[in-house]
Amino acid sequence: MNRDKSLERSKQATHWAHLMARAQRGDKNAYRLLLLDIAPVIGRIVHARASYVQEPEEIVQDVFLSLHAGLHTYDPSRPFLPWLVAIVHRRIVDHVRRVSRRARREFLVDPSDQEILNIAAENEAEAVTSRVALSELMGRLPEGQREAVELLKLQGLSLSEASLRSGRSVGTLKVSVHRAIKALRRIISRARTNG
Amino acid sequence: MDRRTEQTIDELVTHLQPVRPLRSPWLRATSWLSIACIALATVVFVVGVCPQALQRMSTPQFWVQVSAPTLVGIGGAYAAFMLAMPDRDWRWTFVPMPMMALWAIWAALQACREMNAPGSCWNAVWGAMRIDLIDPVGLLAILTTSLVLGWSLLKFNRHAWLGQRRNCAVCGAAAVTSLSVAAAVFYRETMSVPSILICHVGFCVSAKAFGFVFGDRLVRLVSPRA
Repeated sequence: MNRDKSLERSKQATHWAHLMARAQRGDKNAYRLLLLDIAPVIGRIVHARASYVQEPEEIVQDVFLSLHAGLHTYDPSRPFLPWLVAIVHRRIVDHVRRVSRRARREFLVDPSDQEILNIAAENEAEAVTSRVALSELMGRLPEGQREAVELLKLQGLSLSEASLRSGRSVGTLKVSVHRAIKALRRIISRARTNG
Repeated sequence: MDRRTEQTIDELVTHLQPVRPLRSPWLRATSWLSIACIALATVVFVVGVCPQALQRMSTPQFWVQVSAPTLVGIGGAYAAFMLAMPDRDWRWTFVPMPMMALWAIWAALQACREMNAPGSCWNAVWGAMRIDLIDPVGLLAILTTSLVLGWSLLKFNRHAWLGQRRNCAVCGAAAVTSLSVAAAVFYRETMSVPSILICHVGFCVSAKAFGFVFGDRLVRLVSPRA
C-alpha cells in the first residue's frame, strides 16, 4: 500500500518536472496544467508549516509569482518537488517576517476614543484634499508614466507584479516611474514659484 | 481554489515567455572566479609587485599566505553560488569554514614566529599590537577590491532572493575578502602583526558578520523583484 503511494508520488513528481521543463520552453498549456496541479500542494504545505497564518492564499499567490520570476532557476535534471518546497518555505518565512514587522509598527486603538476620532476625521479631510490634488497631478503625466506610478507607488505592487499586470518590462517600468517622479517634482516646484 | 489564485494563474500563463535554465552553479562560480582572478591580477599588475614580496616568493610561508585565502575564496564562491539556488542544502555555508580555521591558526602561528619571542609568544604578539603599525592603505585596497568583487558576485547571483539569501551573502563576503587579501599579499609590503590578524582573519570574519546582518537586504537590492 505504502509502496504504491510512493510510486504514485514519484510518478507525479516526474510528471511535474516534465511539465516544468516544457514551461521553460514557453509551453503555456503545460504551465497552466502545472500551476493548477501544484496549487493545492502549495496550500497543503503552507497549512502544514504555518497553520497560524491568517491569509494562506496570500502566500500561495506569492509563491506563484516567485515561481514565475524564478522559472529559469529550475534545473530540469534535478527533482522538482524540493525546488518548489524550498520556494514555499522561503515565502512563508518572508510572510511571517513581513507580518511581524507590520505588527511592530501598528497598534490597536479604541474606536470610541474621541481624540482618535478627531485625528481620524482630520486625516480623512486631508486625505480627500490630497487625493484630489494627486489625481490632478497624475492627469498631467503621459499614459505610460501614469500607469507605472499607479501600479508601483499607489497600489504598492512589486516590480515583477507590476510588470505582469502591465505587460511592460521591469526596466521600462523603473524608467517610467523615475521620469514620472521627476515630472511631478517639476510641476509642483513650478506651482510653488507661481504662488 | 480561491478566485484570486485562478486569476493569478491566468495572468502568469498569459505572460509566460520561454526562458533558458541557469547554467550549473559550478560553471557559473568558475566563470566568476576567472573574472575575479583576472581583475585582481590586473590590480597587481597595475600597482606592481612589491620588492618584499619578490624576495619572499621562494619561501613556503609566502605561498601559504597566498594559497590559504585563495582556497577560502574558492570555497566561499562555490558555496555562495550553490546557496543562491533555492533547492540546495544550507550546509554549503560551512564549506569555507575549515580552511578559514586553518588560515586563522596559521596566521596566529606566523605572527608568533615573526615575533621570535623567547618563552610566551603571546606576550610578544599582544605587545606588538600597536595601532600605528596597521597598514591603512593595505586595508583600504582590500576594502575597495572586496566591494567591487562583492558587487559583481551579487549581480551574478541576483536570483538569490529565491534561495538562502543570508547564507549566500555570508559565503560571498568570505569569498571576496579572502581573494582580495590573497592579491594584497603581492602588492603590499609585509604587514605588521595587527595588520596580518586584521586583514587575514578579522577582515574576513567582519565581512561574514556584515553578510549575516545585511546580506538579506543586499540580495534584495539587486533582485529584479526589489
